[in-house]
Amino acid sequence: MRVTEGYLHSTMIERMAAGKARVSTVTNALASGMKVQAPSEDPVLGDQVRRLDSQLTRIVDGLARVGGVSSRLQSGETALGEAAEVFARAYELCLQMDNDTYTGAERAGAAEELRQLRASLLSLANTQVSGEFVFGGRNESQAPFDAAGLFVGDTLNREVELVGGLRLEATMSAESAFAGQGGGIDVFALLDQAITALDTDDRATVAGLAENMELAREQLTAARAELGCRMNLIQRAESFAERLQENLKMQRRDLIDTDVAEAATELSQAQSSLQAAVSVTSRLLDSSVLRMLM
Amino acid sequence: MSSLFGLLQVGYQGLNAHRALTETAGHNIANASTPGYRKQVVDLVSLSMLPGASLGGVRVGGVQQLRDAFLAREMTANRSDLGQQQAMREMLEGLEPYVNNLDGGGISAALDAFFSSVGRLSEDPNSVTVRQQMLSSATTLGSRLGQVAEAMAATRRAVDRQLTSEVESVNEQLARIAQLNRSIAGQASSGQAAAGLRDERDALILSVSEKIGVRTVDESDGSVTLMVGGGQTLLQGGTAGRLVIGGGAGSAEIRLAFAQGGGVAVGGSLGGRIGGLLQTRDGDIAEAMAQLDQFAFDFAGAVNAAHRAGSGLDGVSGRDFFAPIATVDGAASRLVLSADVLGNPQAIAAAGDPSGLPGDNTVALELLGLMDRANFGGGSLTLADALGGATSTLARRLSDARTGEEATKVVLTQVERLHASRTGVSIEEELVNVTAAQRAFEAASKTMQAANELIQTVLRMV
Repeated sequence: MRVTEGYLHSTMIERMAAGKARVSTVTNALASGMKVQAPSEDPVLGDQVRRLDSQLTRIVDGLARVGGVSSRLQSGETALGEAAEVFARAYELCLQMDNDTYTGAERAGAAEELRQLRASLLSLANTQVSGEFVFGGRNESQAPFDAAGLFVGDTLNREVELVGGLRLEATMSAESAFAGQGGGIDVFALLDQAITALDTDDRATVAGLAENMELAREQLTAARAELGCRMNLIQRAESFAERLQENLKMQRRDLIDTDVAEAATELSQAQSSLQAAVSVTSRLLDSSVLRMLM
Repeated sequence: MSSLFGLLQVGYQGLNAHRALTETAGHNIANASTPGYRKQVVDLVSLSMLPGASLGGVRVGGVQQLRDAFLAREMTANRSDLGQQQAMREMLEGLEPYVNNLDGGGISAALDAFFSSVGRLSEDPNSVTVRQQMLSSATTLGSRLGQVAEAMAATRRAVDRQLTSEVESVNEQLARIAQLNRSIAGQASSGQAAAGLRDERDALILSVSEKIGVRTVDESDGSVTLMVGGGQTLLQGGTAGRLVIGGGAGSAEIRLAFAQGGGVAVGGSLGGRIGGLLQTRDGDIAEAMAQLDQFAFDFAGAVNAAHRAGSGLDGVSGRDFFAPIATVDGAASRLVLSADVLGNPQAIAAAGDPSGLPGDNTVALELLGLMDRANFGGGSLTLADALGGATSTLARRLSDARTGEEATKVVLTQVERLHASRTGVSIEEELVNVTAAQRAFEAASKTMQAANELIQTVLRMV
């Protein structure tokens, strides 16, 4: 093969250009921390990363909703627990007052304690989180129970989508837990009855209401347990979402993040190759027959 | 019959021949780096070979150029391919920043952000802040789509401008090639090689082939015929055709005319930068644009359909969320909020039933569910995949153009190198030739000197 000037120049330029391109690619990967800088460098990878990013956004959104719902349900659970305690005390009082040793004045005192417990119960039934009423179903802007203890909230609940398509009720309508909708006990009416009975020193009625107090406690405890199941479901969903998030992040890292050690080694090799190409070019340009003739 | 004066003549011929060799080697060395220059070789003819010659000697038979017709044709074809891929790559590269999703700022991220805001609305349908955020994310998505659509339209306009410029350049070069054809044929008929003119013509043909794919046919009179597309003659002898851009803007086709007028459409694959520009404008970008328009049309339609079924916080239903888009064409530039919801977050319909206000979120959930519905982009894609399809079409085409360009470059470099090896100038070779010619020149001088001495000896005898 004849080695002409054109041949020589073309070879040298190509080798140096290839060397510089390689150095530039590896430098970009190192500086940006990403193996590819644009989808056109690897369209399949670009599409995979787009899908992963989209999934991650959904999971992050889902986890944020999980946080909001958990906080609301947690407050509801606590309030129901305390409401059940109210009826534990009311039950004790009813049992205690069903005794001849207590006078009418003492029963009036017990009625006063029940009034305070009722006020406390009303406050619990109208529990708020961040200014929103917890037990009002979908209507969170209005207190679900009025001063008379009547339920004025929404009987329906709002579903939200958490993660992985899981939808569950994010609000609580306390109509059944407090107002006894569906055959249960209206807890405020029960307390009102007990207060009236104690005020009027009606021992027989007080005795008859003790069992209902226990039933009301059980009703509130059952509502609390139902919330506990929902919390449990949410916690499992949260845990699943967190694992999935980690998994997706790892997939994304594997797909696109630069392996720094590998890239640094490659950069070193690329720089050596470029240096070699420059040296060879320099030697080739230097080794002219002109030097021999001159 | 030979004579002493004949010997002088032989020496003189030797001097002439080797001077010509030295001159040609010098010319070759001077043009060693001239692009497209092919090495010239002096044909020496021994006079003793001629019938009736008694004394012999040498004469310059002519000056030839080294030539490899096969490699020349390969270079033309590969230049055309390279021009096509380069034009496509250059145009599509300008669009990539608008559809790059890797940095988290692409239009897919804008779609995700819209659905995030819908998710927040479903969680808290009574919040004005959340509603404002939804309006804001929808505006951002519409604006990003509009930006991409405008970038595509701008690229298509840039392609139109470049096409005009490339066609003008090709026409100028064709006129010059026709002129060179005439000169070369004229000189060839009088026995001249016209090497310089041929080099210039070859370089021009290569330059034309970079802009539009041409096939060359060498004619017996030294001229070259150029054919384009499916075999239409672009240039023959001294007559050059003219490329014209026909049709309206945006749908212009390339036509070939030999006289004034619109000419006929160039059939087949055009190749070269012109072919690449047309493919980018009418193929790649048009396809991605159509996908983007279809996405915007479907998206606005689906969101509006769900939204109309719901009620705003004011209890009013039947309102569109996005301004209705009548046609698919241009939909990506028209994804804007409807007048009903613009600046009125209360009008966003999250509730399915006015009686459930303000806490009902059934329509918000319906809107959120659009994310998973796979009946877009022709019937089987989710919205995200339909949008991703438009962006990945551009990424794939750009990747193909880059890969094609790299592969063609490798082949072209090999072919050019081989061509340079066969027809180019080697300085070492020329220096050896100069040295050899110099020595031969000195020897011819000695021959003349010896002849002169012989003649003087004879004259002294008289």
